[in-house]
Amino acid sequence: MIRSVRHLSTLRSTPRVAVVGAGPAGFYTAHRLLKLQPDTKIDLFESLPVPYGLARHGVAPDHPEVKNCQDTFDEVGNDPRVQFFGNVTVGDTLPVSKLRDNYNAVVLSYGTHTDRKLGIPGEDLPGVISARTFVNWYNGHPEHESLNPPLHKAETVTIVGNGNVALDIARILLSPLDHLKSTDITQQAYETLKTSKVKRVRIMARRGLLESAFTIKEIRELFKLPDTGFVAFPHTKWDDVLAAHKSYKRPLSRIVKLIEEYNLKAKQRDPAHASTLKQWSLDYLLSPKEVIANPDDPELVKTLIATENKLVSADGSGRIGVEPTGVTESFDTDLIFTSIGYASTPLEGIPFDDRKSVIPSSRGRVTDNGVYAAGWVKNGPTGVIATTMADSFDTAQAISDDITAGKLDGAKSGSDNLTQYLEDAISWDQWKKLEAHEHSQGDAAGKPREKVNNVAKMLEIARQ
Amino acid sequence: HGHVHKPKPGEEIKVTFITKDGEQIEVDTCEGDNLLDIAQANNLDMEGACGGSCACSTCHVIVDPEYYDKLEEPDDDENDMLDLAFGLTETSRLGCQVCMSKDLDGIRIALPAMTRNLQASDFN
Ligand SMILES: Cc1cc2nc3c(=O)[nH]c(=O)nc-3n(C[C@H](O)[C@H](O)[C@H](O)COP(=O)(O)OP(=O)(O)OC[C@H]3O[C@@H](n4cnc5c(N)ncnc54)[C@H](O)[C@@H]3O)c2cc1C
Ligand code: FES
Repeated sequence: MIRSVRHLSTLRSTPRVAVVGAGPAGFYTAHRLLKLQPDTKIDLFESLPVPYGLARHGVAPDHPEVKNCQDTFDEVGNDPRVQFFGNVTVGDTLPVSKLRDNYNAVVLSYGTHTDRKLGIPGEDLPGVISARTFVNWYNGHPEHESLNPPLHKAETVTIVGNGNVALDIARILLSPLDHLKSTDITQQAYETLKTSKVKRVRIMARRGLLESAFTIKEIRELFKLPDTGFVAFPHTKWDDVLAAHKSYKRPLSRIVKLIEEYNLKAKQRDPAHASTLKQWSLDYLLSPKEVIANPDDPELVKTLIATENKLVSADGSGRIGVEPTGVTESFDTDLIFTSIGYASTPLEGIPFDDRKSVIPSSRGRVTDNGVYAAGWVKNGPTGVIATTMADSFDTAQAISDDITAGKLDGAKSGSDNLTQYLEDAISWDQWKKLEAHEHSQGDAAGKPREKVNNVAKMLEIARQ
Repeated sequence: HGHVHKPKPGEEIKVTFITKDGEQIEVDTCEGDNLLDIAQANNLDMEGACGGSCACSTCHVIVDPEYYDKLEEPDDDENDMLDLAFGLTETSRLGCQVCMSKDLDGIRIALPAMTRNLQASDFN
């Protein structure tokens, strides 16, 4: 029995797999595939000189436990069957067609690269900042190192959207500095936050309380911030919704109960005490309609005009939508952060669903001849790392099944054939050298790392 | 995180894991060790994406109802993460938060399938 298996494996050539994007989806797909098909050789292509994707550039600095997934990613990166090619943008430096020619399977796990837009007048004013830009900036993504938001003159801030990214931003803006000091937030962002005047954060959503997009851990963290007060709902219209929490399913019921508890506390708070706190609120059933510029300061905005919505279950699918009531409201605000979703972009020659902005697939299979997708580019920009992991395991299973079924046979030479495209690539060892530098810079400042946030500098240090 | 202890002879606490394929695996464990570390030390399919810090839900397990009440109650942080677990049940726990103690001897732990059930989109 054993003999015949060996025989087969010597006849069959080693499957070569290219993974595009070294974020959680890329690493988890590789991790699982190596378990399912130990003979595989995997090449990871990443456009930045550094790996980990949003685990490095998305996850908030005060959530270090979440970044422990990097331990598993390092196991993958250190595996002799895996090669890392950082600083290689597929579709730009390296055509995707070359990957299809030289690998048995190509996994597209390149995540999201742009923002969804509100599509309203005033959206392009400098005082309207996308969540992705802001998060990238405080997390040291080289694309946004120079953002430098004018927090030193902004007292009131509106965040449009109420997913976890919106709550991360609210928390970063409202946290006492000592919560951030020994995190891996960039020194530059920390210095800017030191000068921040932000006192009031409004978190605005189109739909209602029961349709909130955040998860309970993140909202609980906001409620628990010191010297910060939740602003009670101004109308009684949510009281019934809050009181009915027992009839909701467990996760929603727990969220609503928590909000009810803090809403009550906010109502009972002594106004003199309340006025000493930084404040934040959840503003539901509002769609931004127009942003009015600040005539005195082009870096800030003046007003956000929003239309009030009512909930409708339009198409019978159970999905709750909204309809404008015709009433508009104006909110004075100095800055606006739009957090309505990250969006993927297409790669030449690969199918793409423009409406959902994802690569369409069936359990990860994009084509029937070796192209797969995993992570946010496959499912859209929702879900935590656990979701991305489960999804990537699905894709790995599909690849493994196809290898076993002989659908991906054929001798391929992988990166050996692509040297001309990979001359400027950063290897895993070079990344580890850069990381050692980040750690040592961090040590000096009492933080886990001080990220290098500039590509030229990254390359210089990695190549020393 | 990461390491389990070897129980002294006579002090083993037995745990039976039921894998998602229905296989039963009995292991001897030591007081104080947690289910994530135990599962990983025995090469069972359990990820611990956050390294056992109660921040990811990838170590979700389903506890034998007979034993569930013998466990200390989950705290808010654990319940918050459990709310995100696939296929949450009445006796779900996070493996990294459940530590072995003598009165858990004989406990049975099911490892849920890590992925969601088939969805309509999977048939597209
Ligand atoms: C702000 C924010 C905070 C979050 N916080 C949490 C949290 O606290 N807990 C949690 O569990 N989850 C959190 N998440 C979710 C988590 O980050 C995602 O589930 C996960 O990162 C998605 O992984 P991915 O690999 O699909 O995409 P990404 O992480 O985006 O990885 C894609 C990678 O591909 C690279 N790439 C892009 N284009 C190319 C190309 N053409 N060629 C080569 N490489 C390319 C990118 O540089 C990137 O490294 C957060 C997400 C965001 C946005
Ligand atoms: S390992 Fe992350 S919650 Fe248990």
